[in-house]
Amino acid sequence: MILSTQSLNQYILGLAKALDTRGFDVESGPIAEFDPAGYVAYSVVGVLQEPPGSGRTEISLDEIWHPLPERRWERREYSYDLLDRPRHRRRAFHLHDRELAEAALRSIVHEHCEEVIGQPACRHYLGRELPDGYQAIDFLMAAWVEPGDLGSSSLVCLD
Amino acid sequence: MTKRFYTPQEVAQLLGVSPTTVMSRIHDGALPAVRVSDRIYRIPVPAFERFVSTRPAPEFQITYRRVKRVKKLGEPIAAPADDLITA
Repeated sequence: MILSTQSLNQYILGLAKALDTRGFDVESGPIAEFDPAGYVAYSVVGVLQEPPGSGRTEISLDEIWHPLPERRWERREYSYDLLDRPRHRRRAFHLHDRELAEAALRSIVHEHCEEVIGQPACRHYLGRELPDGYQAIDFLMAAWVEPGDLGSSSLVCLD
Repeated sequence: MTKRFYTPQEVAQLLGVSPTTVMSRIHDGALPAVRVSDRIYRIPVPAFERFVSTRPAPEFQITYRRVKRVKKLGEPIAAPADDLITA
């Protein structure tokens, strides 16, 4: 995924708006951390107001973008996570540590699927590369509304 | 468990409109929904509540922070066993 500086800003703001329209509080808005090497890490976190005592549901969208010539940017890593505390489960789509992931998992992308948070049947599942954070929001919302289990038994374990 | 989604028919009843109108709002993106299959949609309850709320859309702004080095994402991935042996 490659975007111009302006398109990247619009894309990040659009992710915050997408979470807001789904009823999530994006209290602090998007955060961007940039370093001297030119890398930028964006973070957008949305929280659902749940009944007191049930814990809160959180969707976090994190991406690392690298600079390219002509004021363009490439998304090099991502981490899209749903923490569904009221139902004690987690779903996530990750692309990080490319070289290590390729060597250890034979895939640059992987998924997490925990029917019970912290008790994964498998640490990394075979993943599909997501084109953008909007697709991630769709998948994570689908997991959130799913009344049955998350379907980890039908995923391919990479470990 | 607290109800997490409405069907388009339920939303139509709640709003006093036809299911066709609800589907139009889903297709034009105004009402976020999860597509379960070709013809089945679920509207998350928080998305419906946001849709009917009068709270204005926030004006988001990106907060920029300079750091020494951007943090890595996700949990660390263990190196393959061969690497561990030769390391």
